[in-house]
Amino acid sequence: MRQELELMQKIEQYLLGQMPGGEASAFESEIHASKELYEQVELQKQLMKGIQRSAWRQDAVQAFEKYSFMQKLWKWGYIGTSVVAVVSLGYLYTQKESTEKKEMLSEKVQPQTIVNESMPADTANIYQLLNGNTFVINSSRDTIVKTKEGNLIEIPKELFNDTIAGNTKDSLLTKKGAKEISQAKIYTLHFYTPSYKDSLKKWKQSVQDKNYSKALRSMLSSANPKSYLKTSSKEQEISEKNTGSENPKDTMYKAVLGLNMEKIDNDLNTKNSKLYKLKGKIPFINKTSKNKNTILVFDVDNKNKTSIDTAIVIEIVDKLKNKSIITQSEKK
Amino acid sequence: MTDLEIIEAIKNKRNDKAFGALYKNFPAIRKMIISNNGLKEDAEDIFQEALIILCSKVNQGDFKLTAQLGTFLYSVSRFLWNDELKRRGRRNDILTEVDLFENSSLTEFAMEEEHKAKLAEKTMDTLGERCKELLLLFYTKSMKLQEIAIKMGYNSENTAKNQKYKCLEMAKKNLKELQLKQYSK
Repeated sequence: MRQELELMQKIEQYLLGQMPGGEASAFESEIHASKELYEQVELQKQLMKGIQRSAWRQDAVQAFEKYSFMQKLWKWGYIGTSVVAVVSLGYLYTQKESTEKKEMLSEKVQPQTIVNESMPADTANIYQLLNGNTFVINSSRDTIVKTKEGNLIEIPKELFNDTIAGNTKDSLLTKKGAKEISQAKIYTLHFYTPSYKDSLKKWKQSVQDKNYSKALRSMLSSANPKSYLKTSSKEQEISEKNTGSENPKDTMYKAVLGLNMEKIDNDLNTKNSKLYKLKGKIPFINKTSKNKNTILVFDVDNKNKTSIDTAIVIEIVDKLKNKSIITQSEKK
Repeated sequence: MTDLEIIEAIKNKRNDKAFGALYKNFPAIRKMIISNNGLKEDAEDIFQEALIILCSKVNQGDFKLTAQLGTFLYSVSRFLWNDELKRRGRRNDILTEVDLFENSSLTEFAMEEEHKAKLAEKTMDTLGERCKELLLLFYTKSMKLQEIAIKMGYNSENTAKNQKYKCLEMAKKNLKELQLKQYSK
C-alpha cells in the first residue's frame, strides 16, 4: 500500500480503538506534535460520523416511505368507493360494445368491487412492498382492478376456479378467440401459500437489501418470469415444487400459465391508462390449503423487465365456500 | 413499543423497528413546522434529522431518558427548525425560554457539531455508488473485507482493502474541499 493509505489505516486503528495501548499513546503525542497529522485525524473522524449518518439516513428514508405508504393506504380506503364507480363505467363500455354508449350509462349494472382489505399479519409486509397493487377479489363476481400505473385489469367472474383435479389441460385452454387479442402476452402466476416461511424470509431479506428483482425471484422460487415470456406463449406449464420444507403441507405451488390478456378499445384508454381483460380459466392448485389463494400477476406493457413495481397481487377469497362457481367438469 | 424498547432497538441496529415506532410522533412535528412557515418537505427533513440525532446520542452512550422520546424528538425538531429559519434569514424565533430550560439536552446540543456532521454525511454523496456501498458495508454493517470482496466482486480481500482506503482518501479530499467552501462563505 502507498504511504498515504498506510497512514489512513493507522489513523483508523487509532480511532476505532484497535491500536495497542503503548502504540496508541505514542501516536497521540505524534498527533499533538503535528498540525498536519492532527488535521488528518480530525477529517477521518468526521468522515466516520458521516458514514454512520449516511446509513441512518437510509434507514430514516425507508421508515418514511413505509409510513407514508400506510398513510396512503388509509386514504385509498376512503376514495376506494369512487374508484369503483369509475371502473364500473369502464366495464359498461366493454361489455356492450354494440349498443349505444349513452343508453348504457343509464343502465343499472351490478357494481364491480375493488377491495383493499386488511391483510393477514404474516403477509402484510409483502403487500406493503407491492406498493398497494394488491387486491382482494371475490371470484364469483366480475372485478376490475386499477393498478398503480393506471392500467385497468378486468377479471371476469369465475376466472379462477378449482377445477384442477384431473382436468389440468382443459382448464387452461385460453387460446380461444386469440385473434381478437391485440397484446397476447404470457403472464406468470404464482400460487403462494402464506405460511411458506422460507420463501418469506428470503423475500424479506432481499427487500431489506433493496434488491427488488431478487425479491421477486425468490418469491417465484426458481422461476424466472422473463424466460417464460418467450417460451410459454404456446404451451402452458404447471409445476409443483416441494422446496424441501420439513412440513410437507408447507409446499409452494407454482404455476406458469398461458394467460391471455386482451387490450380492449375503450374510451378509458389513455396514454397512461389502458384496460385489459384476463381471459381463460385459471385453476387453484392448493385447494386443500386453508389459506387464501394469492396470485401474482405481472402488470401489462412491461416488455423488458419484471419488477415489484409492476406486479399486482390478486387474492381470491371464499372460493370453496362459494357454490355458485361452475366447475369445468360440471359444464361438460 | 415502549421508549426503552425503542432505545434498545437502536442500540442493536434495529433502526427499522425503532423508526417505524417513532414515526407516530411525526404528525405533531409536521404540524408545528407547517404552522411556522414550513413546508411538508421541511417537516420530513427535520424529522429525519431528529431521528439521526437520537441515533447518534444513543450510540455515543450519553443518552439518558429523562423525558419521553416523543418529547425529545419534538424539542429537537423545534430546535432544528429554529436554526433552519435563522439560516434562511427569517427572524421569527420559535423557541421560548421554557423550551430551552425544559430540555437541557438541547442546550448541550451543539449546533456546530451538527453542521459538521452533516457536511461529512454530504461527502458520502460526492462519492461514486460503489465507493459509498463499500464504506457503508465495512463501517456500518461491520462486514468483513473478505465478504465484501465476494459481494462486490473484487478479486481478493486485499483489493477490497486497498479500494476501501482509496475511497476513504477520496472522501477525505472531498470533505476538505466542502469545509473550505463552507468557511469561505
